[in-house]
Order: sequence, then structure tokens, then C-alpha cells
Amino acid sequence: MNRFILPSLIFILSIFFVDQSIAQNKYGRINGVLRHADTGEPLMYGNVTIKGTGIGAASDIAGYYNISNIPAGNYTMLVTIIGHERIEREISVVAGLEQRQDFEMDPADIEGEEVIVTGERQRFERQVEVSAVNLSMRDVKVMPAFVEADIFRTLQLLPGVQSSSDFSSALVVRGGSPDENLIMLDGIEIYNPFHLGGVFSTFNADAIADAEFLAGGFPAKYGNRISSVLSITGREGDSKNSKLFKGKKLGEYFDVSQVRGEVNLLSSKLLAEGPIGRGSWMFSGRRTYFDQIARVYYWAKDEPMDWKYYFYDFQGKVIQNINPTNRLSFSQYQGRDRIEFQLEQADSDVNFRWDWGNSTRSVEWRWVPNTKIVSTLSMANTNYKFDVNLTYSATDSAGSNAEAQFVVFNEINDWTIKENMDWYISPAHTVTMGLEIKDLAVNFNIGDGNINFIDEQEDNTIYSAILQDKWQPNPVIMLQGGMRLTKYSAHDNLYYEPRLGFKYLLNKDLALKGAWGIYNQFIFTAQDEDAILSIVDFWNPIPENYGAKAVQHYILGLEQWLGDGWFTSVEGYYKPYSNTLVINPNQNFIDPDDDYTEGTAEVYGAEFLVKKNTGKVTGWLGLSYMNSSQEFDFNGDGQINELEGEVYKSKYDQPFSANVVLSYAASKKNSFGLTLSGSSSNLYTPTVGYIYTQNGSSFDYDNPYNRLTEIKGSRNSARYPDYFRVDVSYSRVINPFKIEGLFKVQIINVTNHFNTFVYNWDLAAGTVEGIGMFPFLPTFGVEFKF
Amino acid sequence: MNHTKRMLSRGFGLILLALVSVSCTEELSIADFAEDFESYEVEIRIEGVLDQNDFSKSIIRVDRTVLVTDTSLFNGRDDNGDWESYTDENGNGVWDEGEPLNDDIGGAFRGPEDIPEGRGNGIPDPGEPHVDDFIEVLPQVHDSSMVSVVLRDSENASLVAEFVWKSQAATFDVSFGPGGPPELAAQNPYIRYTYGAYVPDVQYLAVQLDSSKQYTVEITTPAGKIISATTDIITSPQNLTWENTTWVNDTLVTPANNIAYLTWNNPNESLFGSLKLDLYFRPDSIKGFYAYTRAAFEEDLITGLPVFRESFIGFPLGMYRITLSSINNSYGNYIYSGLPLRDREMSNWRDQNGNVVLGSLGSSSSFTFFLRLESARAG
Repeated sequence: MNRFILPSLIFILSIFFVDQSIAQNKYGRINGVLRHADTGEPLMYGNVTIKGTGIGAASDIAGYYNISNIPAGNYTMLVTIIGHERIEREISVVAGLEQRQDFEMDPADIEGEEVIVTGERQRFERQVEVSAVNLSMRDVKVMPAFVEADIFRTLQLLPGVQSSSDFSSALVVRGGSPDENLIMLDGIEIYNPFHLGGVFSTFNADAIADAEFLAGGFPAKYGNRISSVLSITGREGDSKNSKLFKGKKLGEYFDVSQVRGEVNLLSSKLLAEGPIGRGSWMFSGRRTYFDQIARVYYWAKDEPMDWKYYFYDFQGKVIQNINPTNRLSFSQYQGRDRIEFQLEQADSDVNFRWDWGNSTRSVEWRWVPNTKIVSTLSMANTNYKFDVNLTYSATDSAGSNAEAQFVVFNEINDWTIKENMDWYISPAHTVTMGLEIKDLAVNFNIGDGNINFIDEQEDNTIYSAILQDKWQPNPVIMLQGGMRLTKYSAHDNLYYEPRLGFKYLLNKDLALKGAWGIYNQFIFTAQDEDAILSIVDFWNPIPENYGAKAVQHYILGLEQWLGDGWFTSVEGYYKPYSNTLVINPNQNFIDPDDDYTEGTAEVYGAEFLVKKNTGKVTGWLGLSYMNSSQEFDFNGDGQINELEGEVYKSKYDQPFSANVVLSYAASKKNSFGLTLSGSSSNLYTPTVGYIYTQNGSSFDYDNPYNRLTEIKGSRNSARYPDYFRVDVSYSRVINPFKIEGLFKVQIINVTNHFNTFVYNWDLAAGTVEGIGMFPFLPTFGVEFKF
Repeated sequence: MNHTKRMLSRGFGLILLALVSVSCTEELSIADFAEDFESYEVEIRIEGVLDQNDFSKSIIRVDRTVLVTDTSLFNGRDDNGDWESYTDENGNGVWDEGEPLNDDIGGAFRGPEDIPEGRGNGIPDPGEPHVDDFIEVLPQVHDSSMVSVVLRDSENASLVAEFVWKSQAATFDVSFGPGGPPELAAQNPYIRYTYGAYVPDVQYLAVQLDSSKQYTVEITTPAGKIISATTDIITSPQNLTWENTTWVNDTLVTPANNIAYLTWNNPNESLFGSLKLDLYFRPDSIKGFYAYTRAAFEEDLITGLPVFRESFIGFPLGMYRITLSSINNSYGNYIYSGLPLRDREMSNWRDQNGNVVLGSLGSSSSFTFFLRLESARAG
């Protein structure tokens, strides 16, 4: 371990000295933060340029920008960002000195704004971002949604991203299983970011400031996942508009600037924010009320309510700007699902309780010691718990009581300490270094409350060192190289993960881009490939006798700016998996070393996206093609035999998909949304015959004819009928009682197209029943703000 | 461990599936799936279990697979004429409330307030007793055409026993009666069915299988193909222990709220066993039963043998007969494995060309005792 940590530390410390020497030259430097003028929230992807020089930079997710190597002289700075008024400011750059220039951007009417060069354009010209998409919350909120806006549902409409069904918001990215996606909220990993078995994601769209999605080829700073990255930045809160305690003593330290909420058929949401000390705070919460509606129903029928289901989540953040160079932030998230039911009979009671969910908390210190260095030190804890408790109590005929319990408990506790340092050597050259230590404790128990029949506790540590270099040697070539070194405590070897990316501007609006990298993953979910639905995921660290999940990404593509906010890209990719794991169908129940079967896989495909970001009509068209296959030696005979089902397509194989997403701002008050999705459907294993057999009939050994077993054809060799769905939405700004609000009506599957979820073969009846996904489903909701 | 996780994950998934399936379904014709199964032909499946404790209980079940297009098996008719209509006591030609329904109870019973479809209509309906039941169906799937079924010592190929077809070779019980309203189910809580299979010819009933040897079953088909499989022999469960119990002759006596577990071992490393429990005598005189296989998840720290556990919390007071069986690995794996039926590790039956034949050959052995559950002891 020391052999790579020590050199890295020396390297990091040395840059301070290097920086001081660089400062003694003929250039000056400017840095600062772009903020929203009304709320004080940082503005990302803003474009800051020195007029007449071609020198500039884009702001990062904290609103921070940095421009160095500016020849001494007098200039005009120009700051533009989509949706805000442009700012011009006269400045004087002095050789060898740095200066801070912060900007507060007033919001502008998006329709009337002439967007000359947006921050996104800046990214196009200066960033090596292959397979990357940035979603604004406007994208998420204007499109039709199932009950309420959900960022995962929006992502599923991008090319290369698919869902396993309408009932799941889990992301399947370029054929990778959902556990291969790194989902982060404010830099913290979220292990199971769903409610109700995946129907809803845990992220409240109102509390999100930005979401960056990388479908592949992601750089070295992201690790321990092998398919994609979704990095969600939570809102920081309004630090400027004191309302509740304005003019009072308390208002000097704490105030509320805004409260907004939403009521819909599923849940109620609330978001509040305001200034606190030298920064801001934000809190959002959501709770469903299936159970409360049901309670009224049972009360009206005068019947006892013997079940309960609800979920809730809340998210909070506090930011403190200690001084212009130091900022502390604390964020916390908690989400829980709970199911309860009781069965009461004359001589016995059954009580069932099932809780699961995530909780996270993190502290981050952002330090900008000079205009060349941005240091971010964070400590985070994320905890995922799954807790089932079944209690059976009985009274015998003599009146004596007895009680039995069944308990299942699964917990992941992840502590991560991370230091990330960006070194802006020049406007064209940035080096990022990082160290990360992740302690990962996994606990799995099954027992009766007194004795654990299964008691597994594993504690592994993942050490990572990251070095990443982004360099633009000339205006048309951008290069990004990186290396991630990982030591996983359960394995002896050191994992080397080189990552490369490039962009070459063929002309001012057309770029060729590509990426290659090696990716490893050390924690995964035990996937039952034949499961139709999986409500929860059981996360497991990779055991010491299995290799890490490993894949390479090869990506090549073109992207072009078409003008007037139009953008298009096409990408092809190839992902060979040198190791992947599934549950061993033939395991020995006592042997802890044969739980999984290792195999290989490959996925390749192509994607096309055309997107319009500005104007009254915005949206995108996405097309994708994908092919996959995989091989596993399930019976352990050392051979791969196709006839025995050891070579087959992945259940996520989806040759074709097309999505159209449109929103139309008809006026300041009225807007419309439309999504249209068509795709190949999921694969299934067909039934070719049937027979009575004891295979799988473990609950009635004495009856060898109790199970009519389907005889299956080749695995995943048949496909459900093509999927098609159209959703529409209409929203209107309303002002009841002078409260600012929004009324929204949405219709899912407006054509009521029957999309098959699964076939249910009733062999005895000689029929096949298709079970569908979402039918025609209208929903509505009201948002308010005061 | 992952078996448990998989079961939990599937189980919870099925809850959600049950919810969503209520809302939106579509009936389809099997003909729509013709290309999935058009090349499939009927084949045989052989399940053979050799009983070390009592060889006469050894059995080899040979059955045919059924094409998904074959509608003759489950046709919704009373093919053998054993369906009994309601008793028209007042002779008015229709069933009246209070008249015995007999088998005419209606099918597709959906709950206590449901009136089953076809109830008292005087004609057999799908789902009614004696319509497409095991008595009708099993003779159609049994294959009694084998030319010979013999058991040999694997080491020297000497003949150990011959098996012959018997149309009433064994029985099994189906619990909760034929379906229908609860009051009818309560009157007839289970039905016993017989089925046909190959069993040891009468002169071989006293054969003693040697647990140190391996045995091979050879089957000659009417087409002259030789199908064979080899198995080891397992002996009965051992090391039965249970805290807070007393043996009285062959009966274990325990208070009903004994929170300790009955534990036992298999005689070797095989992880599979079964527990069969007869409600042999209960104050309410209702007979019931259950029997299921189980896999051991833990092993004895000293002997390394698989440990099985059972709790009887919540069982009604009374006397029970319990049969614990050990099942050897090849047959246990066949029950529990998730491999496809045609996998080489799943089935140990091969034809003379080495092709896999569906099914499994294994062995089992059992141990029977009585259990008396008494009311909780004072103090």
C-alpha cells in the first residue's frame, strides 16, 4: 500500500511549491464563483471568457471557475450562462498576481435570450467527455412522468439506457446490469436508490440541482463500477432571501427564504431553504400515503386494517462559506420503505415487518489555496439496511403460548475518505489527483431472533489512488489520460485501471471523440437471472476466491453542434467482460466458496442522439442498437456447451430502441410534454413442453407429481412483442390565494398499448396469459411555492 | 446462502408481480408460440430412488413429457366417468341450496364469498373433483413399455434385482381436499392417489443394499435403447437430539412451547434430507400431514456432518409420526439444483450413446419415530 500512497502524497505536496514558482512570471490569474443573483446558489457550466483573447473557462458543479496565463493588461470579462442575463466587467490583470472575481447572475427570460455561446458549448470545445449527458432539472420536470418527476425515468429515455420494465426505474446502461452503475448524491454512493422495488427512485427531483450521466468511458476519478456513472448534485439552498425572520435578531443567523411543495396521487413533498450563518441550508422530504388512504377506507368499512406500506425520504444540506477560499458543507439523506401486515386467527397470530432503505451523511471541505489549486476533502458514510422480521405466536388447546421468529438482516456500511485535488497548470492543462479509502462492511444474517442460522460478516477495504491529466495541446485536440490504482483487501493483487480519452475538432462544430479504459468492480448484487422482478438487491463484496468484475470500454464517436441549440452525436462501443458473476445454480449449500459462477461476456452497440436545448420546443430523439452474449460454465465441467444453456444472450439484450422526448412551452403559463418510446422487448426462455418432476418441488417430497415443470427451450431465445408507449403531460401555472403554483396532468400510455411484461403459462388449462405493464394511466398533481 | 437470498428475492418479487398482474392481462393462444416449440418431441423422464432401509420401497418412475399443444391431458372433461353430480333430493331437476353437491361444487373458487363457476349445474367443469385429476392424468403420462428394468452391482455388473411395472406402485396424499368452499375442504381434508411405476419384483423385496457399493440401473426401451444410471447408497439419519425432551420407548415427549430445535445429521456429506410428519392423532381427530425436502446450511463443527433443524412451535398438541429421511447428493441435487433439466450434472441417466435422459437416480434411507406434543409444563 505504502508504495503508491507515499509517492502520491509527495507529488501532491510538491505542487504547492511548483505553483509558487509559476506565479513569478508575466501572466496574471483570475478565479471566482458564479452564483444565482436571487438565491446565491452556485451556477455550473457557466462560460467565463476574456473578450478578444480566446481565453476562458467553464464553471464547475460548485460554480467555481479558474483562468490562468492571462497576459497583463486591461480586459473585459464576459460571463454567459443559459437562462441568465450576460455580464460584462472591466478588469485589470497584473503580472504575477491573482485576483478573485465573483459574479451574481440575474435570471433571464429563456425565450428572449440570445444565447451566443453557452457553457455547454464551452464544454464541447474544451472537455473530453465521451458518452456524457447533462440533464437539467427542467428536462426532468417538464416531461410526462409516472405520478411524479423522476430523474431515473428521464435517463431511461436516453440512447443506450433502458429499463427492465415499466415497473423498474433501475438503469440498464449499454447492456450492463443495474448494479454496475455508480449512483452518487453529492459524491456519496447510494447502493439501492429505489423505493417500492424500483418503481420510484429515491431522488426527489425538487432537491436536485444537476445530474451528470456518463454512459461509458468515464475517467479515472470514478471507480468500483464498470458500466456508468450518475452523479447527482443536491441543491444548496437559497442563501440570500430572508423572509421569515427578516429584520429580527434570529434572522442574522438563520432564516427561511422559500417553501415549496407538491401534492399528487402518490405522495406529498416539501422543500424549504434559506440562509444560515455564512451560507445556506436546504431540506426536502417526501412521504407516500397509500397507507393513510387505506386507513380511511378501512375505517369507513369498519374493518381492522391489517397491512401497511409507505416510504419516505428526506434530504438536507448545510453550506458554510468560512472565507473566500474555504467552504464546508454537510449533507444527509435518509430513505426508508416499510411493509407490515398482521394475520390474526383464533389460536395464532402472524406479524410481518419489512424495512429497507439508505441513509447517508457526508462532510466536505473545499479549499482553494490559490488560483491553481482546488482541494476537496470529504468523509462520507452510506448505510443500506434490509430487515425482515416475521413473528408467529400460537396458543395451544391448553392455553399455553409459544412464539417463533424468523429474521433476515442485510446491511452494508460504507465509510469513505476521499481527497481530490485539481491543479490548473494552464488553461489547457489540468491535473487531477486523488486518494480514496473505502471501508466496506457487509452483514447478512438469517435466524430466529436467538440463533443465527446464517451469520456472515465481511469487512473489506478498498484503497485507490487516482491521477488524471487533461491536456489541450492545441485548439483542436483534447486529451485525457488517467490511471486508477486499486488495492482490494480481499485480493492480493493490485488493480491497474488506465483510462484514455480524446476529442479532435474536425471543424469548429464537428468533433471526433473516443475513449478506452479498464474498469473493475469489487461489490455486486447477487443476480438471479431468471427472476422476473426483484424488489431488493443483496449486495455482496467480491469473495476472495473470485476475481473482480472486469470490463474494457472501447468507444468511438462523432458530435456536432448544429446551431440554435441543436446538438447531435453518434457513438459506437464495444465492451468485453473478462470476468462477470452470476449465482451458481448448482451450489453446495454448506460450501461458502461456490456461491457464484464466473463467466465472460461481450456487448457492442451504436447510439444516435439529436438534442435541442433552447427555445420553446426542446427535447431529443435517441436511437440505439445493442447486441450481447455471455458464457458461463454452470455445471463446472470445464467446458462451455451451448446445448446445455451455457452460451446465451444477456437478459438485457435490446437490439433496437427509439425515444422521442419533447416539451413545448406554449406560453408563460402553459406547457406540454410528450414522450414516445419504441423498442425491442425483453428476452425470455420459451416453454417447449412440460412434465411432472420432483425438480424444484422441495416442499412436497412425498408427492412426486405435485409439480408440473415446464421444459425450457434455449435460454433467452425468444422475445416479447415490441414495446411501444406514448405519454403526454400538460402543466399550467396557477395562483390560488396568491400562492405560486403549478397544476400538472399526465397520461401514461395514452394509446393503452399492451406491453407484455411476462407470460404466464397455465399448462393445465392450455392457455397463455400475457401480463402487461402500465396501462392507460392518468395522474395529476399540484405544486406550490411561497 | 445465495439459495436463501434468491428465494427471498423471488418471493418478494412475486408479491409485486401479484399486485401488477391484477391490473392488466391478455389471453393468448398457444398457437402464437408455435415457432418456440415446433421442433420439440416427446421424451421420457426417469426418477429412481433406491431405499437402503427398506428395498421394497425402492421405485423407478418412468413418465413421458407432454407437448404444450397437447390438450388431451387437461381437457376439462370427466374422462373416466367417476365424476358425481349433485343429489337432486327433491327431484325438481335443479340443484337447490342444501342438497348435496358431491363433485358438482364448481371450479375456480376464489374466496369465501365467491360462488364457484358451474356450481350445481349437473355437468363436470374444469377445477371440480374428478375432472382432470391425477386418476385421469397420471395413466396418460406413465410409460410402462420398458422391456426390462434391472439393478446391478456397478463393480461386477452382477444382477441385484429386477423391477416390474405396477400400476398401483405407490401413493401420495394431496392436502386440503379437492378445492371448493372451506366447509367442503374441511369435510375431506386430503385425497390419496395411487400412481404407477417400476418396483422390485416380489422375489427381490428382501435385498439389502450395501452402502459401501455403487449400483447401476439399466433400462431397455421398446426401441432397444439401453438407458442407465449409477448411484451410491446412503444410510439413515443419525444423532437425533432435542433439548427438554424425554424418550418413552419409541416416542419423544416434549412441551409444545419447547423453543429448542430438533436436530439430526445425515450419515455422510450429503446435504439433503426430508421430513415427513403425520398428524397421527389429535384431539379433534383431524388427520393432516406434510412432507418436504430440505437442504442443510450448516455442518457439525466436530464431525463435519450436515446439520438439520426443525422447530415444532405452533403445532397443535397431539401425537405425530415423524419420518426423517436422508437423500443422497445426486437425487438431492436434482431436487434443488437450478441447472436445466437436460444438463449433464443435473441428470445421471444416459442412453448408450452418452446422451442425457431427463431425471435422476439416487438413494434414500429413513428413520421413523413418534412425537407427543404436550401442553407447556408448569415452571
